[in-house]
Amino acid sequence: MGRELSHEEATDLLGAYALDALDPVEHQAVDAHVRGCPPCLAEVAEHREVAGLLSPGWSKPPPGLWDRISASLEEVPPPLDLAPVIAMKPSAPKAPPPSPVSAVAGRRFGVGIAAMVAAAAVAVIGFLGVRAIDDRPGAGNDDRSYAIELQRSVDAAVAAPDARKVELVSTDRSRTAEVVVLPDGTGYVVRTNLAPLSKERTYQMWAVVGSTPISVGVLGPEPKVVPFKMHGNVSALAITEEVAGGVVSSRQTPVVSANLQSA
Amino acid sequence: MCVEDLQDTSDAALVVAIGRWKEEALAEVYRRHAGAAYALARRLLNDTVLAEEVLQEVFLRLWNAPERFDSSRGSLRAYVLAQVHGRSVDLIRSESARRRREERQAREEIPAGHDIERDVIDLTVSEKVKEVVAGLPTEERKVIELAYFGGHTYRQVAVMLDTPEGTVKSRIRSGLRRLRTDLAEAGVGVTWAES
Repeated sequence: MGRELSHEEATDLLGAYALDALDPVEHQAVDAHVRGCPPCLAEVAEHREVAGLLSPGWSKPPPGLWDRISASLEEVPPPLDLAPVIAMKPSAPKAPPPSPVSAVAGRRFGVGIAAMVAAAAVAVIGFLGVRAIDDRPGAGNDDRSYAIELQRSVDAAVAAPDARKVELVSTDRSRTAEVVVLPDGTGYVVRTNLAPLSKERTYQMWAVVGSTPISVGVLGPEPKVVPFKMHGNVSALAITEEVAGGVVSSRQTPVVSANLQSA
Repeated sequence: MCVEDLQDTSDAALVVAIGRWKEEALAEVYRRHAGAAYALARRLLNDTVLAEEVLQEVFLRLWNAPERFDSSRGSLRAYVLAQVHGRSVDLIRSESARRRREERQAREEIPAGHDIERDVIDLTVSEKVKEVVAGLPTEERKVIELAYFGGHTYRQVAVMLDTPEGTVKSRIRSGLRRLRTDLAEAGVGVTWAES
């Protein structure tokens, strides 16, 4: 799909959307429509209310589960407060960014990556003459308006004086991903030289908050320009290779990473 | 706000308290809804470890981003269960979990045409809900069960049932709408006005 849905197309999919029965691309398209359509939003809420009634009763959770949840709350940091790294020339006006990719935002993944990411050096880059077009698979004429809006947002973010620019690099420094992050946590993958993946695989981006890696977006098999959103005091960023659609927990070694705290 | 007060507090007010970093409010939400959430995750994943992981993630997310819950759009129970369902489905569709699930299904030799109606009815907690679900047209009940409890996309359901995709997505929607109407007529509340 990959294009903006008409109201009729979206409503046809609302039941499947409410039951998480869409593929990632369709889910994202319906999600974009629903967020701006109060009647559809209300219908989805109704469907989910019904689905909740079908749920299989009540099972006593394991005794130690709450203790683990409670213990993890102590690690919750204050809201994101990214200090600016580079003062860019404030030439371009700020434009509202498009909604970030959020297919699996907020999901944890396995331990181990945080330490690896922490060892990576942050690289602050110039972003001069950035060329960024949306050439994701499936992006055609129907995606032009989205691509234009996205490009405007990226340009504004790159030019913003309080934006932070970071380069994620592989351990052998052959692979890179350039990222810009605004103080409100809105970010963009601006450019990468990551190796293209098959349609069954995807790159996925993670933000490390405390010791917990949080998914901030599924980037697709050939990421170029992708918006994302992150929350909390992010100490590092990493991109892993995962199965298409993304994962909740990753055991993969990051393809590229950057430590934000060493800047 | 003491623990005794919290027990009489509405879900919406609890979420407001969570937004003010009141851990006891999250504990009360856990006390009220973790049982249903755990039952759903375990049912979907058939794996207690993964189910615990999903619950931990969902409650941590509620702590980190309570503003995502809007009490004007639904109950906290439905919100939590939707979060659990979404995370669980992601796991089901992930490579490793899918492999494990397929291996388990192969061991159990589940026939392709198992009794979906019974599956759904056994899983519903309320007698009234059971009655309403049982009264749903079979073709609508099947697609909802396969999508909701099986974690399948509607396209996958279409293949499984040898039915056009458009028909499946229409049946999911019409089935859910029919359920809502029938549940309301049966006196089972599907409204979510919070005090």
